[in-house]
Amino acid sequence: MSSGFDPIIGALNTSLNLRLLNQNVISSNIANADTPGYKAKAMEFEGALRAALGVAEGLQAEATAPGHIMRSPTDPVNPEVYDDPNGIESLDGNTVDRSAEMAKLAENQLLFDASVEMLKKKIGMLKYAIGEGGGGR
Amino acid sequence: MDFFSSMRVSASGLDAQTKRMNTISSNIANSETTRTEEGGPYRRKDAVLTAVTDRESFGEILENKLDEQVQGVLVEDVVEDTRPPRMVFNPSHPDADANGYVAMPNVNPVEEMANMISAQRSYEANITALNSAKSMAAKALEIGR
Amino acid sequence: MAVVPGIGNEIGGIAQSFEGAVSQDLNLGAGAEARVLREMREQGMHIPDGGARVGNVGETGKTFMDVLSRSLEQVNQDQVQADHAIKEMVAGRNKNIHETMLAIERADSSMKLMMQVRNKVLDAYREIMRMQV
Repeated sequence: MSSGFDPIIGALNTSLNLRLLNQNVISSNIANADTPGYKAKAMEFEGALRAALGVAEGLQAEATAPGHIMRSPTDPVNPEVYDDPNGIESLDGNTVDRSAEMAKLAENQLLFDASVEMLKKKIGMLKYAIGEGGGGR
Repeated sequence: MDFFSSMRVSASGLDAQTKRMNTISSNIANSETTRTEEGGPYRRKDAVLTAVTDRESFGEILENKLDEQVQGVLVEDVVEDTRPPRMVFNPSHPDADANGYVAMPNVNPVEEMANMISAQRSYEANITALNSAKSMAAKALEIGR
Repeated sequence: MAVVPGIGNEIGGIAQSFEGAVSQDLNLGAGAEARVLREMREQGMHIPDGGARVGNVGETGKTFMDVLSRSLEQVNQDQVQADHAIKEMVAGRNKNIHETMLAIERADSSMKLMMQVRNKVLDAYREIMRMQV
């Protein structure tokens, strides 16, 4: 998923893809809020994203020999979709918490929009530099 | 994985909640019906919901394991409540049996109201999810503007 | 950011020939040099005190090159900070969107400012070059 631009734009692209997937997962939960026996799903991608970006708290990998493979921000990130262990089962076996899902929906959309804005600004800066500062000289 | 599978999932939710509302309305309307075509009083109906995988986006082959996890909802069946009807003592009723008891439908209005509120909330939640997906798609179009 | 070093080299080259021209005792007076300095002052850039005689390398120790390279570094620093803020937000570490937006805007504005300064410097240079000796 290399974008040809600088790695930050690639990372933003990855983040947008994952937020889209999260949107799908949350929509499934909301649609199945009344289905008996349905277990609410959750997606863990922030950990995977952090590892890809190299902002992990602990050690950062360093390539000390030519054969070392480094994770770059544009490597495809494989998120996990798993059954949410925090779900409380109601009488019919359904574990979806509607209010929590609505909150997650709002947060996800907001961060998606924020990522799009960042992308717009970064690309805008590149275009400005390409256009020679608007002076056209 | 795209915006449209998210919208289809929400649309399936809307559809299921609408059907559920239909059964609830039918129950409330027929809460005093003692004569039906099959004989006997009206029996309360329930919609059975199941989670189904969205298959439209890729035919029958699930290319990506992640896609399996995204599931819409489907009203599989409308079943009748198997609880016995309420027996009410009313000898002057035309449908009274030998002992003067009338078999009334086993519809509990309070239960139906609770179900109705739940269906309405679910419907609104699905509308919000749909709007959210739509707005995200529209926002993505703005990149580069 | 590959953009900044490229422009930096260009401005550096122009600045050196600028200084060369000025130190050859061309009597510019209140001409291009003063105009460039005025523009820079208006835009809030720090002009060293010996700025009136910018061409004399030995006297003040601060040259036009220094001023330029400092501001270029500042722009680069802003870009790096903006990238860092974006990474933090994407990784979910920092959910304060306003901080990230401010960092990006600052990087954006400082780059635009630098581009305008570059344009003015180019203008000044061309004006000087046009002068008949």
